[in-house]
Amino acid sequence: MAEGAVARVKVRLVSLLRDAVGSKEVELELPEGARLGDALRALYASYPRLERLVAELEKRGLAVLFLVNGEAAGRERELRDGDVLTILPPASGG
Amino acid sequence: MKPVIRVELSPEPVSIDREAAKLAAEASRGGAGSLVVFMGFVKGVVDGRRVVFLEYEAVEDLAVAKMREIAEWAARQGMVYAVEIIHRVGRLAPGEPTIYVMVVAEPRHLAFRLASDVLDRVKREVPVYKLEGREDGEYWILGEHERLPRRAGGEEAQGG
Repeated sequence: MAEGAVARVKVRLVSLLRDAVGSKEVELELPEGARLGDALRALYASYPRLERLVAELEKRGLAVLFLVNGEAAGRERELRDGDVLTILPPASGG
Repeated sequence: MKPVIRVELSPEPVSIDREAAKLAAEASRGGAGSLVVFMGFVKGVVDGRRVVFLEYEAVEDLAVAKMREIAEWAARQGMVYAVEIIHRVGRLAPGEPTIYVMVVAEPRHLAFRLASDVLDRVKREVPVYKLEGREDGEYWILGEHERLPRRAGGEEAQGG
């Protein structure tokens, strides 16, 4: 692995999370091999309002779901360059 | 006959007449005779407050994939000729259609049941989100019932 290899991860947001950040997409630059938990730490460091909002939702029983490339993932999931992380609140369609 | 599956996010309403006529014409050739349509529409009053708009936002690729998964599941539940799920996106006014679920199946009680089951699954599983604009402010809708007021600058209400 090249020294200093970077994983560029796109984060997609929707609904009130998008509103809190001001954009439906954010790009993170992480060290190659970083995990989902690391990505969230980096994201929340840039957007503390987002972190407060996710915590508030969890407190209300409205926990968000994390998807990596469309599949549900936990904080230990390793991320690769080009991965897409989507953060989904409980759906309200229909 | 392979079941007809159509899933779509649509900024425009669809003509139920036209769609139903098309499905019935095709499905009748296979011996079907029952088509059930569910149409949701924007409520004009919620919690005693007048609704000005309902805005739907989707994570498009994931929403379409999940709707397709749900439609294909429904199509495997018996003699099913067609399953269509069309979800509106964008800002809608009271009275406007929000979602259409159409099922052609035999016998008719299967068509009724699947239309209901498909709707329930769409509401729980498809990443589509509502912003409710009312006379007393804007509210993010999460899950079936939860409402969080949208504050200026995107800040949400803290506490109950």
